[in-house]
Amino acid sequence: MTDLVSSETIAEITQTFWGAYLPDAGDLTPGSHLPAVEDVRGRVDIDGAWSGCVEVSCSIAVAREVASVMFGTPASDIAEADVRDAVGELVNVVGGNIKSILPAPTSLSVPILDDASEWRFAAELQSEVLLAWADEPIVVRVWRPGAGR
Amino acid sequence: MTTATAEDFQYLQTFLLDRSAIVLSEDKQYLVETRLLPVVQRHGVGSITDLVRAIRRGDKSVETAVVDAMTTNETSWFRDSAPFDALRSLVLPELIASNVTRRRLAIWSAASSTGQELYSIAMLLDSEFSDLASWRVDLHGTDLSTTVVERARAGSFSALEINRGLPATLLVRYFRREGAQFVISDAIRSNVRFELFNLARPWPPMQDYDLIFLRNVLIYFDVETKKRVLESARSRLRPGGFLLLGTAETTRGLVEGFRPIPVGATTVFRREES
Amino acid sequence: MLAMVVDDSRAMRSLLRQILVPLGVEIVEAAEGRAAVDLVESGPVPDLALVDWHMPVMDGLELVTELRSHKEWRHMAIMMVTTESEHENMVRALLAGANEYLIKPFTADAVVEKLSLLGLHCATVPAGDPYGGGTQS
Repeated sequence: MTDLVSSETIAEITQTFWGAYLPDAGDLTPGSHLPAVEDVRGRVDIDGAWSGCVEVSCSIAVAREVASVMFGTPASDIAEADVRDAVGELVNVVGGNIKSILPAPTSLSVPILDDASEWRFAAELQSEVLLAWADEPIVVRVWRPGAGR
Repeated sequence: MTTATAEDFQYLQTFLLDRSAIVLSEDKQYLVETRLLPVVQRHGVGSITDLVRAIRRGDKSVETAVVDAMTTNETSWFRDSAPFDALRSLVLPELIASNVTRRRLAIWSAASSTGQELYSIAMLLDSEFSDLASWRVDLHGTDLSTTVVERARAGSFSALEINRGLPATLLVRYFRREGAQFVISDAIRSNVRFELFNLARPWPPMQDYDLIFLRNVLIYFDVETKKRVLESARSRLRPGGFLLLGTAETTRGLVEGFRPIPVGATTVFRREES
Repeated sequence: MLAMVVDDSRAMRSLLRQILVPLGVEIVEAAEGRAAVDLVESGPVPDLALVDWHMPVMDGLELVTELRSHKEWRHMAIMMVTTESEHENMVRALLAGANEYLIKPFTADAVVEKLSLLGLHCATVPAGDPYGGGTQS
């Protein structure tokens, strides 16, 4: 997997989302020193010449900031549904750009804002990239179906 | 902590003027902070003051990084569109007509940055002036900054850059994806050349050009340097050759020997026979 | 100028609204392709449709095909706004009748420049050079 899409590329793609939509918010930095806080999680499924999913999770502070910018509302006033929707778009952009680098042709699902965790037990982690925005954690993971499937 | 002090700003004003004839007016403090904070981060120092200290110590890599950061522009493809319309409607037809026996054209993008301007010209020629395929066409781009010259040579652009003013038909025709980047076709890339060149220093001997793009770079210079640069550009243009400047830029009051020709929403400057 | 934004993400529709409304553009929205067709059928034909690719019910490619099958809507400009950037897929979208293509994520400047490429002009100041716009020094 890492030869298909490197960690650097995954980080670059995620940074591009920030650079485009949140240009004044500051850049992303490596986040391996941060505790894994995954208040909001979403994924997109990719199927076809390559199958698996791209998952993005982050702390509520990151999620609120993204939603705040995209909805043009102060972070303190953002409704939970809007926060999830914005994270869905973050997942769509990161996952969609990763999909474009993976072998073609593939299809991309709509974002699934994750409540259930069971699918991870059957999945194999291919890549995990730990990033930070303003010292808040963002994690991007690429999963493939596990060996048993 | 990371903001620039008044002393830092003054130092940088002098440094940039000496080093690359860039004029930083008083109201451009915010730009210094925006452009140099990434340099502060990348060099692992605490503040812009630290960068200034490093320059004072003679740290060449910091010097280069600061100059690069202050001269990097966000560029679009076919920037402002009107000059490229002028190319289509007037400049290229005229140059082709007057060079029909010679079958040579030399075009210079004199502040080529990361290459979008010269590659735009190259794509325009390839897609709309196919007769020129049998001509010798020199496409040269130069810039002051090593970083951007290397990037221009690589011809590799991010999605954010590729979105800027590039018609979708040209995107699919001339670019392929490589990882997270879009790379321009080898056919186009092999026909252009990028070199380092400092417009503000004395110009070395060079070939003559039929068309010079000198867009959005004169504004960095003080009046004396502007005059020098324009005079040098005039002398490097073949008679009847064209000079294209940025929107609202003009040769008027700065150099003789050019005839301004309004074309659509822009003005092109034609070198008069001396 | 009337623009129709078609995207299943409310956040994305909101973002495009924030970019376009200050330019004097009027916006109507749809969350997927079928709803977009209904909108065009029932109201004034937009000057521009901004179309996401991956949507439920009717996706962006299907929507472009459907929109272009109506001769009376041919003057409507269509721009894909999507992460989808596989070469073959971009070609498919253009062949289906999309006029322009914007890759997510994008900046506000990019949107304005694409509108200009489409011959759609709106109330905006041209992006100036950060060192201060060229009239004099």
